[in-house]
Amino acid sequence: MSMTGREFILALRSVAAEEFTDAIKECEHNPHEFSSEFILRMDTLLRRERRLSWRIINSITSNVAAALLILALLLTNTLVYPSGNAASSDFEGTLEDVCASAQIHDTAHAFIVKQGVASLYKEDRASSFKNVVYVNDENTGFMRECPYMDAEYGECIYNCHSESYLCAEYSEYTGSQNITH
Amino acid sequence: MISVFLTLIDNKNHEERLFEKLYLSYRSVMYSVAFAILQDESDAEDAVHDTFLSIAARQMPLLSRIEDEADRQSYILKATRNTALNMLRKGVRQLPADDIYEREQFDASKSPDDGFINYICMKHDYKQVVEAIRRLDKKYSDVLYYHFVLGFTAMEVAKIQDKNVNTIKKQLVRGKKLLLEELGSLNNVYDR
Repeated sequence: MSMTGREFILALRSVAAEEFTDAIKECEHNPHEFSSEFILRMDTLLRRERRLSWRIINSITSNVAAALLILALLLTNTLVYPSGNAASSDFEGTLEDVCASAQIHDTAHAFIVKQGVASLYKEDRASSFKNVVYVNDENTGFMRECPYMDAEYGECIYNCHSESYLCAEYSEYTGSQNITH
Repeated sequence: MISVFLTLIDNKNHEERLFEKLYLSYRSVMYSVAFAILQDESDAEDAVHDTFLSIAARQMPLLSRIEDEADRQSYILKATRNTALNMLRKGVRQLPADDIYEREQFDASKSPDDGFINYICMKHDYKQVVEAIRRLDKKYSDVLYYHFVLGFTAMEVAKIQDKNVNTIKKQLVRGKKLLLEELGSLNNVYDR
């Protein structure tokens, strides 16, 4: 090859640049003083551009983005503190007492331990029912998930709040319960 | 989602800063280009203003893609020159947007980009190519520049020049053909 593709691009570029060489020299030697009318018009255009930027930032797309962000935060809040949102869980029954041993038969329900009373909720997590145990956190006042409880296989409920085991037997799907002392 | 939002804000801020930078850097030389064509101070200022209006309205996303400062300058000055020429045409006589060449039908498939560049590179040297490009009508060398150097599509060039995309496609094909003609090899290429 006599030349490379890169040189071909360079040739186009140099011809494009040399077209305006005279204008650039002319501009350097005789700088033009723009009229006040031109300056005014350009100032208006620049201001309009700045406003346009903010209009775009505050446009529909941005508003939708903000709305989705709020929605995402609300959803996160719901997952962390399900007791605060009635739509996320259905109250099924209350375990009136604590017990020495317990067995949970129903994997579609969860126990909520609150102020010495274990409450049963049916909860939908990510479109599948799962047993989850919540306790009332005295420090924050919010319900939080008890990390020590594996309700899936009916093991004892560990009461995070009082650091004692709250055990209950729950035999019916819809709320009747057997408490074993 | 947050990253998309922040990117949007960042892009708009970048374009706003770039627009101001272009105005401060190039307004004088833009004026010189426009004045060389229009020979009237007021008309030349109008041309500069109109060019910035056009850039603000349609061309900032394209301009912000150009990283090389020399290419950015060429782009801006070509835009100014085209605006001034359009003003001159409107003032003197209403020329048809396209000339006789653009109304002809060309087969773009006969000169695909890679084959075109390879052929030229194989048969000609740098000086010959520069000379051939100089001899081209500006509208063809402009389209070749936008397409091959800046990497713009026919649609994007049409947006810059406020022309129909088919006109630009034809100009691109015609520009390649004329360049080959200037290089004295048109027949060899199209007889193959």
